[in-house]
This record gives sequence, C-alpha cells and structure tokens, in this order.
Amino acid sequence: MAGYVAKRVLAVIPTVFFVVFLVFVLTRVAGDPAAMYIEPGTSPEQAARIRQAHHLDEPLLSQFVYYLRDLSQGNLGFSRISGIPVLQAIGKYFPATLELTVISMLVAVVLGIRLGVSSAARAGGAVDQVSRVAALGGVSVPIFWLALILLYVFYARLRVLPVGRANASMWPLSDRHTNIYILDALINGNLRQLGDAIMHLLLPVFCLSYLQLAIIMRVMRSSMLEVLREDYIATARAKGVSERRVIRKHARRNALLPTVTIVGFSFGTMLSGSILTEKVFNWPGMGSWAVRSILNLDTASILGYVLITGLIYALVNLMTDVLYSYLDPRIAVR
Amino acid sequence: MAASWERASWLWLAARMGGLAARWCKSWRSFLKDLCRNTTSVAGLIIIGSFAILAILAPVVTTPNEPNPYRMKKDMLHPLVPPGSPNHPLGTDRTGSDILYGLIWGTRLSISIALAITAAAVVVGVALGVTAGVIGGAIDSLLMRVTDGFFALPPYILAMAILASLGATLENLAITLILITWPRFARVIRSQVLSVKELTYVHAARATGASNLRVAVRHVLPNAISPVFVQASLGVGEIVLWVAGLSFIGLAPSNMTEWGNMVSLGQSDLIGGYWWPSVFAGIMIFLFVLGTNLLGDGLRDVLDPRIRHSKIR
Repeated sequence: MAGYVAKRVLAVIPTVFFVVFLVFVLTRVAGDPAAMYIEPGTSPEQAARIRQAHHLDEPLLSQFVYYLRDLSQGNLGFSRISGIPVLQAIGKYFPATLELTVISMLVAVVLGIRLGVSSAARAGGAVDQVSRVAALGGVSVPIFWLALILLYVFYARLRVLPVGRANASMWPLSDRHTNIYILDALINGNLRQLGDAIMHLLLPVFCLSYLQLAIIMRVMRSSMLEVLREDYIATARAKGVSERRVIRKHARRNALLPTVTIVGFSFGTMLSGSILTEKVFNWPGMGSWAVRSILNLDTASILGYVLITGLIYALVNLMTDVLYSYLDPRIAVR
Repeated sequence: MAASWERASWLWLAARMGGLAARWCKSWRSFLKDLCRNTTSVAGLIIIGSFAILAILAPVVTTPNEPNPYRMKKDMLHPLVPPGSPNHPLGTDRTGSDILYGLIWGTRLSISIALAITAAAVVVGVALGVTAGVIGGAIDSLLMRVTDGFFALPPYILAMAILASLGATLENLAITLILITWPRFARVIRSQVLSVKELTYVHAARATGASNLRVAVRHVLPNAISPVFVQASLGVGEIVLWVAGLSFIGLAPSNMTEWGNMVSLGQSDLIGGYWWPSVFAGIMIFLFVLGTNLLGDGLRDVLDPRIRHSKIR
C-alpha cells in the first residue's frame, strides 16, 4: 500500500513538470517578456540592460532554469490587474473558489450516488427516467447559459436570490477568519451570516454541480446495474436478505469504485466550469479573476492561474488514486 | 495482345472494386438499418440533420451580410427590439444586431468550425494512434507520455491558456482545439489497435508477409475505428461547447455570428429584462449538443452492442 502510494506520488512529478514547462513556453510565446518593463522613452541600451537583468538574453534552456528558480521561491510574476504579486492575488481569491467548488463537489457526489443507486434499484422506473433526461440535459447545456438563465429568473425577475458572495454589511473584516464564509459564520456562531452565505451559494452551486451530478449519477447507476447482476447478489437474495440491505450493504459499496475514478476527472470539469459560473454570478474567486486577466491581456496572471489550477488538478487526481487503492486493495497489489 | 491484357486487368480491377463496393454497401446497409432502429440515434440524426439543412440553406433564407456574412447584421437605429417585430422576428441586441440572422449564420459557422476541428483531430489522432499501436515499443511509450501531458490540465483551461497567449483569432482557436483534442482520439484508437492486433487473422496476415503499413491500414484499422466515430460524434458537441465557452470569456473574435459570442453580447442586458439576445443563442447550443450526444450514444449502441451498458447515458 505505502509502496503504491509512493509510486503514484512519483508519477505526479512528470505531470507537474509538463504543466510548468507548458506555462513557461506560453510565457515566451505570448510576446517579449521584457515588454512590460520597456516604455516609449527607453533607450536600446537600457532595454538591453533590462533583458540582461532578467536573463532574457540567454538561451531558452537557461531561461527555463531561472524560471524554475523563481517558481521555487514562489515568484509567479506581477499581476497587473490586481497590483500585487500573482501568488498573493491567487491567495486572496483562492478561498472563495475553494468554498464554491468543494461544496458543489459534495452536493454532486452525495446526491449523485443516492440518485444513481435509486435509479438502478428500480431501473426503468420514474426516478430512472427523470434522471436520464436530466443527465442528458446536464451534458448538453452550456454552463454559462444555464447560469445566465438562473440569474435572470431568480435574481432579475423573482428577486429571491442574491448574486455575488455576501452581503458586505454583514461581514466586517474582523469576522473573516478563514475567508471561507460558511466556516467563518460557524466560527462566529452567527446564524444570520450563515444564512447569508448559503443564500449566495445556492445559484452557483446548483449551476456548477448539475453537470457533475448528472455524470456521477449515470456512472453510479450503470455500475450498480452491473453489480446487481453478480452471483453474490443472487446468493444474498436467495438466503433471504432484504432488498434494502442487498442494495445498501452488498451492492452499493462495490459499485462505488468506478464512481471514485470519475470524481477526479469531474473535478477538472468543475474547475473549468467555475471560471464561467464565477463570471456570471460575480463570485469573487480565482475564476472571475482569470477572466478579468484575459480581458485585460494580463498574461502573468492568466498563466499563474493555469499553473496553480494544474497543480490542484494533479493533487486531486493523486488523492482519488490513493482513495481508490484504499477502497480496492487489489489495485495496489497489481 | 497488349490491349486485351490491359482490358483484362481493367476488368479485373473493376470486378474487384465492384465487389468491394458491394461489400461496403452491404455493411453500410446493415449499419444504417441498425441505426434507424435505434430511437436515440434517430432523434440525434433528426436534430443534427435540421441544423445541417439550416446551415446549408443560410444564404438562401437570409441575404448574406457583405463582405463577411459571418459578421452580425446590424440595424443601428433599432437596438433591443423585442421578438415578434416584422423586420426582426427574433429581435435585436443592444448594438442592433439581428438575432435571427446571427442564429442562422451562427449555425453555419459553429457547425463548420466544430466539424473541421474534429476532422483534423481525428486524422492526426488516428494516424499517430495506429502508428504507435502497430509499431509499439519506444514510439508507443513516447506517444503515450505526450498524450499524458495533454491530460495534465482540464481541456478548457488548457485551451484558455494557449489562446490567451497566442491571441484570440479564429485560426488560433482552431489550432488550439485541434491541439487539445487529438490525444483523446489517439488514445481510443491505440487501445483498440492493441487488442485487434493480437487477433488470429492479423497474425495470419503478418505470416503471409504483409508489411506494417498494409497490416495497419487493411487489417487493423477497419476493425478498430468504430469507437472513434462514437468519440468524434460526442467530440463535435463538446467542441461547440468549448468554442462557445471560450468565446463567452472573450477568447474568440467578437462581433461574429457565433452562438457563445451572442450569449455573451446579450448578458449585460439580461438583468434589465432583455432576455432574447442571450436566450435564443443558448437554445441553439443546447439543441445542437443534445443532438450530438444522442447520436453518439446511439452510435455506441449500434456499433458495439457489447458496451451497451456503458458509462454515461
């Protein structure tokens, strides 16, 4: 088991290296990296000195080494749109995105598994039919459009749900300990704050979890159906175990495995979706920050975002691999 | 003498081609018959067929905008006209662009972009995947490592990074999407090739002295290609979604009759109650992607009954 985990951790290194390399290549493709220091009045000698100071006159390979050194010191460049270093800006926007994605993922996984199990238990029944149509809708609808429709209906027309992240008047700076508002509200023991945080989360979480929910539900359903055809299920039924117990104890646990593998993949889709969802709902997270960077051609910020997202994605995939080997110890032995 | 020999060889060639064509027709007929029996794929085909007709007839049903028909047609004097007005059946957006015109030419643009990108990605992916699968060894591991690299980031974010660095033009959008989609086709075909190439008839072909190329093209490819069709059908829809999503955050040229772009242009007026600029374009995206998903699922059932109970349905 420990050996397997170590092997998985080692396998992440090339992935991370690729992401870093890609981002480096893109920084060089995106135009002259020295351009941001050069002004109309800069003389050629000064420009040459700037290039020298940033090692831009050296071969690409040694530029890459310098780039790696900068990264290891946490230097991802300067974010023009935020007016602070990129890493600092990401630190500022990270908690909001973390809160949104983790809650959406939890909703998708918990509900997806539940609905998948019940549609498999009565395949062809009402729950199954409805969930099939809903799932097909989930993989076909453009997420930003769904977000806009929700915004129009619940915010602009019915005026029942807010946009943005919080009602600022309810959140004095001294109340923001972790910047994960649900946690903060619990720490403060403030029910009004908790309500406010949840109300603001409803629309973006619905939007972001819908697609994942659809996918997880369908995978869970088909893997449940496969497990229910196994001999040991027939055995369990034959010896008189109640159907409820067969589903819950015998089938569900074994059907969970394929679902775990797609959760890592789902998380990638969720990160992509969070860019669009955050933009529409004005959620002050990394995604809407990235969109603002794109609109303002702030390449350092965009690539910083890509780098951090790539690292998070690699980490989540590593975690699902490890979880998988824990749930199915045969994997580690193989 | 020479002439009759020539004629004989032509006759032989014609007979050979005829036989091949007959075999193709037969397999196509049974394939089409299966496809028509499958309600899911029929539904998908009807939806996609309607879009295709609309795309082809675009210059007939509307007067194309000069010089570039893919630019929105503007009626500057009448911004935000609601749907139902005689000159603008589906209304106009805040710049006076006619929504109906945008939807029709958007169909043409979105479908051709998605088809071209998918076709290019399939050709590249299949060529590399088959090569790797048939030859194996170092080339195979190299290809797998490269595709691994492309899976290191969620595709949409990878596309965003590349496009933001290269600049948001239509050509760059196409290049980027080809770049991020070919690895999946390479993966799919490679795994098929690996299982097909161990079948007895392939060993038999090798034993008769067939070259690598002949084995790959003649014996392995025809029996390994069908999952690629399924992937391609789903891929067209996904590319439409990605193009729309990238366009929505400003990574495609603005002012084009592209569905995502139209949704994006309409979003600022949505809160004010002007729903039509965004809503109609979104419905087009949704329906088209729904069609490709239905067709993809149907194709999967028809082409490979073994995986009928597969992942996402």
